[in-house]
Amino acid sequence: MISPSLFLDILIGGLILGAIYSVIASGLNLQYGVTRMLNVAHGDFLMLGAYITYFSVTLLHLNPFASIIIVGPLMISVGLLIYALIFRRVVTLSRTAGELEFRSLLLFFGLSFVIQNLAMILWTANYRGYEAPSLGSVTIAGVPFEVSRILIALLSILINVFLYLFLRFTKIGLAMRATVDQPEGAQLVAINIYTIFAISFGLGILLAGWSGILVSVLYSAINPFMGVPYTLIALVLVVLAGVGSFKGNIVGGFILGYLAYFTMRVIHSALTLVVIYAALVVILLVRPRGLFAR
Amino acid sequence: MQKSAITKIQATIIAVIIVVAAIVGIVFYYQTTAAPPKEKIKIGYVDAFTGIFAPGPEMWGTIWMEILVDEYNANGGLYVPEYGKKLPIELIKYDSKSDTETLVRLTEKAMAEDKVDLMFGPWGTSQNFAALPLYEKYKYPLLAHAMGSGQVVDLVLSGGSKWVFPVLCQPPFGAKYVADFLEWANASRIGIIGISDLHGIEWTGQLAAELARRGLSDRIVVGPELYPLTVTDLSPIIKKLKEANVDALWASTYPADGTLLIRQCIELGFSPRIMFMGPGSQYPAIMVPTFGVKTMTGIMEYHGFEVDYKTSPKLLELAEKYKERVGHYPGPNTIAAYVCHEMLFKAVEKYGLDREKIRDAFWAGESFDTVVGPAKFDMKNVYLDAPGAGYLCQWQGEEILKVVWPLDRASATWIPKPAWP
Amino acid sequence: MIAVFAVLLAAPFFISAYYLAMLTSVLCWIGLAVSWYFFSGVTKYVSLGSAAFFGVGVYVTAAFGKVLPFPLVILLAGVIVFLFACGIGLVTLRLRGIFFAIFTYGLAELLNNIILFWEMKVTGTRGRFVISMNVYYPILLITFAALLTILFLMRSKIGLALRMIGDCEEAAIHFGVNTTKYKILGFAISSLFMGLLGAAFAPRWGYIDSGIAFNPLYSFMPAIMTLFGGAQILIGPIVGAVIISILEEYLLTTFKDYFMLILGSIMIIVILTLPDGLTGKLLKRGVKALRTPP
Repeated sequence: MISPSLFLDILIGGLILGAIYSVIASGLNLQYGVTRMLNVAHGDFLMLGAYITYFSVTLLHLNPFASIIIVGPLMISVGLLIYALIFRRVVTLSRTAGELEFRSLLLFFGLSFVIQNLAMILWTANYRGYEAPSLGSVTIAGVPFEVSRILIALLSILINVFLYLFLRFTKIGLAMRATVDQPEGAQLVAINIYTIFAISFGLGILLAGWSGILVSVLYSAINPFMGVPYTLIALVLVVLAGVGSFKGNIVGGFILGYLAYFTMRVIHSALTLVVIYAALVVILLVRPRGLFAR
Repeated sequence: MQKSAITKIQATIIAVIIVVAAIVGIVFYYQTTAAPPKEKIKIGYVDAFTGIFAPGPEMWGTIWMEILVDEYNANGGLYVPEYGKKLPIELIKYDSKSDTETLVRLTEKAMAEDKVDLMFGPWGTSQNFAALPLYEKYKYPLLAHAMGSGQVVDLVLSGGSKWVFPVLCQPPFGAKYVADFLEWANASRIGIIGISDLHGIEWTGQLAAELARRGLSDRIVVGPELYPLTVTDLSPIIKKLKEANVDALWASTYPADGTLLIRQCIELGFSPRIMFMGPGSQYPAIMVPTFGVKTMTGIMEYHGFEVDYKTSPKLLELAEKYKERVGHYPGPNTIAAYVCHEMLFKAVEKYGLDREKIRDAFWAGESFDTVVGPAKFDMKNVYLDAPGAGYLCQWQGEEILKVVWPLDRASATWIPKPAWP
Repeated sequence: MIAVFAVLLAAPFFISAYYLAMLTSVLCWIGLAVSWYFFSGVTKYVSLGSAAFFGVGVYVTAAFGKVLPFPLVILLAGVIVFLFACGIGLVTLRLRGIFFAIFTYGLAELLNNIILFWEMKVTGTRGRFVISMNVYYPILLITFAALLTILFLMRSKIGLALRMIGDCEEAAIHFGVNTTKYKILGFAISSLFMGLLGAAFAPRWGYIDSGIAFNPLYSFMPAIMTLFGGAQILIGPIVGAVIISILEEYLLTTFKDYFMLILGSIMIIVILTLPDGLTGKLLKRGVKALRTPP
């Protein structure tokens, strides 16, 4: 039987992991929901965020959490630039959504190669790490939890809250949600789809970069190819959540976080991915469009 | 009507493709088979310079191989008896992209097309296994400096391969000296964890098996427990270890999970008296900027072959050369890549570029002088018998680790791991 | 085509070992690309799981290669992969395209994990040795078999159904086409050939473990090659496979450090300038007849 302290451990541990997962996926969810272009290079942008954090910490001696203010503008500029240079043309030329999906996929693959290789040329494949401030742990009801993880979870929740507020209360956010729901309808009410696409693109990459900061604090082995497993998590979560659904992203994130933590703690860590996939299958069988699909 | 239109166009295109491919192929062919006069020694080196394995060779062998080649070239090259003079060495590197098929194909290219004189082996147990059939076919000795598996021991002992020369102590054999140490240090509550790839599986499994052989199974309170390469949270495992009051932790880690482990152990307040971590976790280049030597003090390393670079001026000089290129001192076990290939060069100086003679010399256990001392291959126990084999190292306050086991070869006394600073 | 086949049959007699290996590899990629095209290219259900099926084939050879004669092993692999693909198809093909893509994306990694766990807990081994041998003829035969089968099927009922699904799935349903059945069948056939190729290719590698068998490279390369060559017509994947695999080899050996960068950039440029892939232009030049079903 599960002892009360184990139960509490899972309760809080899953929460923390879930918060982290939902932030990692939020960028992809937003961007795919609006533009319907699947960014399989998502993890690579996360990697860029991690590297920027690394350089901020080692060269500028910033606290890694403070590098949010550097990563933010940098990543959104990168995102907008990439959109303008590469994707806008494809968006305007594609006649159907299917065509766009198809072509953008190949573009993202190419982008992934380019980004990974550039990172390798610039920074070598050597692992990089920085001395993250060690904050010890707090004991809640007899179970120790690391402060840094709690901080990251709080930060993730904060980011999600900002995202929510943005989507709900700003004009751009409203336009984005409209585009997710009804692309044609949105255009009818004079929403400039292309601008919205660009912004969601930039935002998606921004969020990927920010999640990179968080990951780099947790897991200080930064290298050009670190993004790959996170792309998978993000993709799974997007599907689970229901494309474009903010609520789904959060709920799905926590479901995955709990499942993963539970598996690692109680069953066997090698089965984590298996359990996640099983959950994906089950959820898709019951709700084929994801948890909160629109 | 339409059917023939399809076939004709298809056929034309296919024909064009084949012609283009043929032209490219022919150009390639002439490019690579133009035989130059013997003015230099070509050494082929195919490894993962990009892709998921890339950090491996980068931090381990590649730099040492380059240093070795540079050392020899700085002195005019490698002496080859059949030419009676020294020839400069050219290192030809191909990127396998961390893909086995590419590794196999490019290895064959280096051997069959470029017809290199010698080969430097790749990093990674699975890659070595994959390339081995080619080494057998084209008759090149494979000095497996980054390979650790009981299966290669079986292969050699059963006569299945004549060309592979494992350098490091392989898990079944290596587990013995670790178990010796654990007994000496009175490890009473042992936790065994590791990464779930071949390295982790074999070492954790063999250690558990060796302890069982000595009747010490009841001392293993946690594990062997493996976690996936992409792990992001080890706190569940660490909590298990803490609850079980583990005093000796064995963790077959790579750099990524290694840093995670240390960080989470610090945060969760788990500090065992004895703590082994995997070879990847001993690179000062990663660990020192991330944690600093003070935090690392007490952590031990195992990998079949390790040295304390301060035990000889030549070793220290090499370590400094490594530091010039990387910014930090090398991990204590990486020198294996240098030592075995230095042996190869010494063998060439004696036997020339006759690879079969070299192979026979290695099998006969012929001793060659290397930077660590006299080295010979022991093909009964299947490892490189040289000062450093079977040693255990420990971080003791500086970037260059000290040898603490076996006791008669130690450069410093073992210390129980202090609490995290 | 017969002429080409005859030439290729005689190839081992007059080209050297390395070029034979290259040719084997190119043929394998052609086989994978056309198999991918047969389902994903035609129906626009992008599968990113080719590595899973290829890998199962590889693994079957690894597991049974020493026990059964080689042709039987390949046959066995085919059966296993076919059934497995049917199973996956049943679960996922009732979903929208993007879910299918994401699900398949992680499939290879999932299998990797499962087999890893199995080996760890049940058999206590890791990886298996296969008898190394020359696989040129098996690969040649299977690739040509795939080409012929696909050419034949494209003109049959299943080809028609798949193309209707690709053009407009709703219309196909309205026409009374059992889209689910044809999707599953098409997917299974496509995966069957991938599995056969995997089983035939495995002996080249001497040693197989689950990480090697389920290499993600085999997941996205067939997609990239097809999209690059053009996904409108069967020649597309062939052209794409040949060009990319040869290009890659050349870049690998000449520009070791930059090849990913160059490859990625080429992909991006091609999609931007020739959005329907290299052969897309061909279709626009009045060869419309090829697109409408006979």
